[in-house]
Amino acid sequence: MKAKSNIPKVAFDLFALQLAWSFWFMVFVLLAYLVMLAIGSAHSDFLNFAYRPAKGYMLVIGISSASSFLTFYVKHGVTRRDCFAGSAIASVLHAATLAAILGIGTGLQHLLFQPPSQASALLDVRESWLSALLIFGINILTYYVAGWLISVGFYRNGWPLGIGFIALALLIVAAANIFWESDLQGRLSRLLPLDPSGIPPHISYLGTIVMLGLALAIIRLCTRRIVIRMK
Amino acid sequence: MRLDVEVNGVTLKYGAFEALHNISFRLESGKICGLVGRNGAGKTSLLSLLASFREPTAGSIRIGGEDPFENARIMPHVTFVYAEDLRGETENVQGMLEAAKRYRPHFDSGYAEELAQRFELPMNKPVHELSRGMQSALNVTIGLASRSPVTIFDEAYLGMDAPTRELFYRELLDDQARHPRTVILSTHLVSEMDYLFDEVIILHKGKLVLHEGYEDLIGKGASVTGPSKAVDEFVKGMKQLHAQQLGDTKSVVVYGKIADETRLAARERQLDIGPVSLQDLFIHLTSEEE
Repeated sequence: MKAKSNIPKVAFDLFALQLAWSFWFMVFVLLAYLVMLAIGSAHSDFLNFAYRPAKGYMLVIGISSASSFLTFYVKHGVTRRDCFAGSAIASVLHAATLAAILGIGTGLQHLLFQPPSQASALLDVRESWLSALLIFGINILTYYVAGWLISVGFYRNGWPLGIGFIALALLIVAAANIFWESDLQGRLSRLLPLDPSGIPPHISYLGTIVMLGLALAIIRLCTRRIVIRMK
Repeated sequence: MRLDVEVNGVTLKYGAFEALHNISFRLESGKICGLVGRNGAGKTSLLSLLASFREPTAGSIRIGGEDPFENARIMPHVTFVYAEDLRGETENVQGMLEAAKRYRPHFDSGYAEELAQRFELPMNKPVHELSRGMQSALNVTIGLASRSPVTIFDEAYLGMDAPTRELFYRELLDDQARHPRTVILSTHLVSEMDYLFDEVIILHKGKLVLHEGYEDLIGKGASVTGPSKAVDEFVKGMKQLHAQQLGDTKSVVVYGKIADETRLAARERQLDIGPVSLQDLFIHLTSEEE
């Protein structure tokens, strides 16, 4: 009997499902942005405006994913290994697609209108499209993986050990913020012996990729032989 | 495709609590096995091991000769239907059937639709809006239509009304005749479902009490009724499970093969030897120790 891998199927199904959720997310963010533009409160282009909500959204769907998908797939005879690999591929594709769609929207905005001046130099599409979208994608992926980690922690250990995974996720998010000199700068950087804005981009990319790899390795280790909850 | 199930010396512990103790049995493909036990006997724990939801603490499980846990050659061929809480499931009935079709190699969509019609499942209704009985009917539909070589139903009938349960039993027998597989039915409704079983496993407090063919098992139980003294003399040396007395008339449930000569001797002493139902055997065999 030859084993057939379910990884492509799981990856495609989860990608399609998450993209369907993201459609509604993007609609709401766009509506909010249009309202802000109309009342003159928007201070950046669409990509920059969507950055923070996208991170929050990815964290939430990361948290809600693991418990339901893991039970669902193993119940349908998919191995934990295929479920993990399919989920990981789907999360990367989803983050990249979200970044690309929002990037295209922002591109149109730059082509057709004069967007409000940039608030952040980090996601400045006028400097480099590729870099802005890569940074956007890698950061929202980090938030998704942080959510996934929390979800796995609670699924596997329940309370109170799950709290430890929240701490781990916060660490990842904080590290991403330091690498990409964003939200925590000002508050956190005062406590750090380094200036986050001085980190060269290649170190930020490398650091984030290593951190994501480690987080995924922890998720895989925690789910390799995980007991499936029956509810 | 046929897969035998083999359980060898399986023990399962939850911390210090031993849910299963040294369980061993073998199920041949093509038969329906009834798994019977009181609350907390370890039925669901055992079935969750077969479904690769968890690993045993000790011992081994073989399905089709292979360890099923994280085995991509085996897991798609084992379906575990249990009384799942689907209150949070926003997918509709059609979507649930399509998901099962994507991952179950032997899934028969035509049969699934046929069953959905018979169970009167509304295809476009979100699952969380279905009644408990309807949700169970959906689970059973997926379980039957998956046509998995190993199909497990753990109290899958919860919330179903009597006609729906009857429909489930009939479909199970019909489809098993068309597509023989290893079916395990875990149930409390012994008297209602015993006619479905080819084999019976009784679990009690995490231990295997017996594993026998249904006919053999039923043939071993008998109730001996008659004058108290004659009954006592007759059942001396037999394994007695239960005794009841009304005036001078006594009835004793015994367990063990009764030879034809012994039956003749009983008739001569004006004793009545009657059959015992699986339900009675189950009750007496699992209350024996208390």
